[in-house]
Amino acid sequence: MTPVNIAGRGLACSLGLSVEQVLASLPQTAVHTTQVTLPGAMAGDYPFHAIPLSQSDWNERARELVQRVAAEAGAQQIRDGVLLIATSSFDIGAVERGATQMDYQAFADKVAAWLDWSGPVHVVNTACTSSLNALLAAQALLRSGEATDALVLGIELDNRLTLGGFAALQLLSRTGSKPFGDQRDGLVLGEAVAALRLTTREHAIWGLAGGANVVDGEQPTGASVRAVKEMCAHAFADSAVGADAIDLIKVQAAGSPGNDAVEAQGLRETFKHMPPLVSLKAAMGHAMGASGAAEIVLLTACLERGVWLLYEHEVDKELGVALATTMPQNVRRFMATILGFGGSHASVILERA
Amino acid sequence: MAASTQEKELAQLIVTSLNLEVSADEIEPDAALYGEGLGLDSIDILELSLAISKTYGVQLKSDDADNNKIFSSLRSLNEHIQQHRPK
Amino acid sequence: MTTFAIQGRCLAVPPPLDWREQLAGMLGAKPRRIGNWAELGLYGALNCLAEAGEKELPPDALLLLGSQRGTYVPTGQALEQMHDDLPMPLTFLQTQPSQLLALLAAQMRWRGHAAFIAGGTPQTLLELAAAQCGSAGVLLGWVDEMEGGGSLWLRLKPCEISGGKPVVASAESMFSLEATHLYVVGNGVQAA
Repeated sequence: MTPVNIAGRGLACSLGLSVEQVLASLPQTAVHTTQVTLPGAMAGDYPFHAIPLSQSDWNERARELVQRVAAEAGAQQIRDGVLLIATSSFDIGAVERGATQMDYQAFADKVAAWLDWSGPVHVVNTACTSSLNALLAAQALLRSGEATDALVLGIELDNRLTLGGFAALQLLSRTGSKPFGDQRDGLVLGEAVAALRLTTREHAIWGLAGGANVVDGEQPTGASVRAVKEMCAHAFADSAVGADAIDLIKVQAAGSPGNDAVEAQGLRETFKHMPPLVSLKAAMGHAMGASGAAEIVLLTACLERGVWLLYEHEVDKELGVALATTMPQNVRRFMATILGFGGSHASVILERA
Repeated sequence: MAASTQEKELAQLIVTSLNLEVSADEIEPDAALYGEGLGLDSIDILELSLAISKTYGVQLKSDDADNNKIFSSLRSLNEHIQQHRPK
Repeated sequence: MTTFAIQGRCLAVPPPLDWREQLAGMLGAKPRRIGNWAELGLYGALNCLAEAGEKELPPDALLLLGSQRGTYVPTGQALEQMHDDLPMPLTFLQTQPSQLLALLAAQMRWRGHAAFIAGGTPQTLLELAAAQCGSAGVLLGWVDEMEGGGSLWLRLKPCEISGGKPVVASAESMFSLEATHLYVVGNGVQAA
């Protein structure tokens, strides 16, 4: 089968406006949050990972971020390729400010125009797993020969709807994200724009081996153990590798009391020998539909450059899993998982050339 | 024991906010809200919690250890609200 | 090139006047908190699957859902609620199109690969389906609640044989009673 390689990447998140900036600020501290105050019945302050770019006009800010991140990934070389935009919130932040009408197609056209894009454009929204599902769609289009190049662009930017909705569902922490932590009390949301440029035309350090997405309707707002296990099994089959070939797992582990435990159990029941685990949520927050792409960009960069994460919290011993406190050596294959809303469980496997 | 006026008001809030098929009068003050009885689940409880916060100014947390007791019946929920209402 | 045989369809544009009663009959109860768009989606998908003669969707089938306007109505409601307070949890859930994927999965007692694609056209959705689906095929839906509403669904399986002479397909011919096969060729979709 035609190998699909990751030829370029770009990222803007709370840690910085480029991969270099993010890598530079990562080891310094795990806390890059601002406070957001929500009104009304559940009033209060919630930590939030905002991208450090001030610009009062929502659309102008989005345009600048999208153009920067896409350029960093080398998108200008493939403007006739397939663009897959992954988002759960579109430009709802601009709609809230009265600057834009809610319109999926107008949003897609706007982003395409910012990038001077001439190829096909698809907008994938499967909530938290959007960018991983966009990656799976891109891989299928490239494998089938429909296209040779694709850009997966995760966009999740400042809006009140996502924050308010998560607060109303009592899913947010007021103290901070503590993945697999013994004091975990919810997730912390964040902004991110992230790009992965995929190609079948050139070699690259990392290739996309395969992946899987399993929707389980049993829990509309969370994960199930059986679906975590099925997701792993399907991802192994799609990538033609076994569990013992996985050297590292980037977990969802956002710090949710229930979901973290479900994920840990699903992994324990899948892996006889648990590979090292890493979570990026404490460092950059949970960037919803952009999180899958954003975390893959950051993790591949970390592995190449020998930069690793600091965890400031104690892991919950009852979960029977641990987070890798130093960088595992010789990572040839890692799994990147996002579990989320809509009972969606997605994972991709990346392979180092 | 028949429902009090306060309980009837709360029953109406439950029916309206959760779009239930039953009428407010049919909710027995001592019958279970969860599972058997009204058949509410955890997402209904979240919806109801926010509706109660907005109406009565009483915050109900989904991770409160006493939730099973608080939400056990219309009567217990009403008692909790009346005890914690801002004066 | 991928050739799909149409195994079942639901072309409810607009849906029949009693579609809510029909849906309640299929579900065994009136749905009370999923919202109009999701109810319309469920109605069409369950009818389509029944017409295909399938009790269940195979686990390795693909579920692809598209929409022009998706969850605009509940999103507007949630934004209203947020003027001075948080959105209501159930309203917020209704703003997330992926909730319909979860509802469909639960209703069909199915777990598998499902995705929502916002905007585009039924043809672009079919192109994605052709690239992504395996031998078990795809349950493909196009659901909108605004302007009279519509719930268009096709149960498609890849096949080797060809039908009649392929004709260039518009969305209308994809979702017509006459078509028996759909051809996906490069960047175009054809029906026969």
